[in-house]
Amino acid sequence: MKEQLRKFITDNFLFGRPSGLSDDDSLQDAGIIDSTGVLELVTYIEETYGIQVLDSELLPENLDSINRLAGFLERKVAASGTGSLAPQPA
Amino acid sequence: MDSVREFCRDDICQVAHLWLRVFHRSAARTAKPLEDYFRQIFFDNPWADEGLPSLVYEEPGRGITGFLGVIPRRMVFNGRRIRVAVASQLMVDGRAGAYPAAQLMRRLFAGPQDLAFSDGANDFSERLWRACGGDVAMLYSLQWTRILRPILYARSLVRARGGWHYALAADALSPVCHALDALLARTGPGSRWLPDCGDCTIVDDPADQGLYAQMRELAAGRRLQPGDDFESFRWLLRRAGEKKMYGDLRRAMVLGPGGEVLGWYLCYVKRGAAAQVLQFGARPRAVQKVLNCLLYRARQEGAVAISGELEPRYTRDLAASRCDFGWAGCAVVAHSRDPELLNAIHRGDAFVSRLEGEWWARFSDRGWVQAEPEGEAPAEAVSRSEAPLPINIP
Repeated sequence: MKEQLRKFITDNFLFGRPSGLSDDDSLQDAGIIDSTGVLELVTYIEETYGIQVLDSELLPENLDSINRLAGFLERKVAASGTGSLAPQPA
Repeated sequence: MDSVREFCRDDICQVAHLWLRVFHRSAARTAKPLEDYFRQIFFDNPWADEGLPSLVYEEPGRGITGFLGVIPRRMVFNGRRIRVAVASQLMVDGRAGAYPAAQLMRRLFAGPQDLAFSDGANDFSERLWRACGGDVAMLYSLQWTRILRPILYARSLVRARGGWHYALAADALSPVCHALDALLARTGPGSRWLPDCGDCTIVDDPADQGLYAQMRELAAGRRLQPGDDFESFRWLLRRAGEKKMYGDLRRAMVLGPGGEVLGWYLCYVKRGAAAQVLQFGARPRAVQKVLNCLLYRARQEGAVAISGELEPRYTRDLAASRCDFGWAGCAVVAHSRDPELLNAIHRGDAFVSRLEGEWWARFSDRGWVQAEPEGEAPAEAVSRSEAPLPINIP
């Protein structure tokens, strides 16, 4: 899942350029995402993993690094009871 | 914790100061006229709707760091009254990061309105609007311009580049520019294209009631049309009349040779600058005539050019009157859960003028900054536009 998230971030915000981004780097501090990027990222994880991100969850604590994203997704899936993080069929 | 909540009257002072920091980099301590204006536009407007509040983003210990104004409006779609949320003055303190603007936009789109709409979206807010699932109304985002005095128009462009040397050069050349334009109007090829009223009569300052009746009648043929009652329309005209950025608001009705009403216009005119059309409407076979009267009067009053938001049904007439079309700088953006409604906008089947969005508001006027900051303004509060555009995001 982390690799999938990294690929999305690299493809969409870095135009495919390798950035040396570590799993703990802040996407915001690194200048990788702005307000629009946040929304694009949320749309991506909602569509890819079939979850719904609430407004109150739209926080750097949940979304601002690959590790935080992965942890957030795992918590969401656990809370939903589906127990799976498999990408949704397109 | 939910950081987005409804804007209340007690927040006005904080929001006004945020606005000054974001759009003017000003740390002015007093903002009384601006506070009054926020109150008037967002709380004391005639469309007050508790279900469509403006929104603030508040952080513990830091107060309000984000704002998204909502002006509730009423429109009519397919004969049904609908609720419209006109988005205005989106702003976020530069220190607040990327999340407040995203949260504010999501909350707006989740609201109970049938249509969310803005005609003041700069590049950043347009991207944000799209990322949130909204659309850009390409047709209505186009602006038409007709040059009325080519040499003076070129001079105004030079002057607008900023810097004292440009202004000095433009002013020094002013008499020559006037003389050349006068010469062109008499002898050059431009003399053939001077606007003329023909057999029409311009009636200045018609009664509000008359304008309202014309607007209602002409808009009635569109699937999406304004739904203002007369009192709301009058309030809107008064507020639009207070805007001074583009000069004084001229309002006129155009009559045909038999005294029949052919159309009307509302237009800001300032001598030596480009006039800006707030709204104009005409009967289907009289668009050219009304347009000619509008161009004629603007030129007569010293405008060097005239611009307006594209009304798609008038495209052919505007082109025939030698108008150029271009991107306005600010986009018209829309969001609705009803695809039919969006379809009506994209097809140009909507009566949407600058009076329906937020363009008429005078947030972009000069004069809001009363007291200069003591020391440096906060560097993080950055407006990305040279002029104070209505929407600003980090």
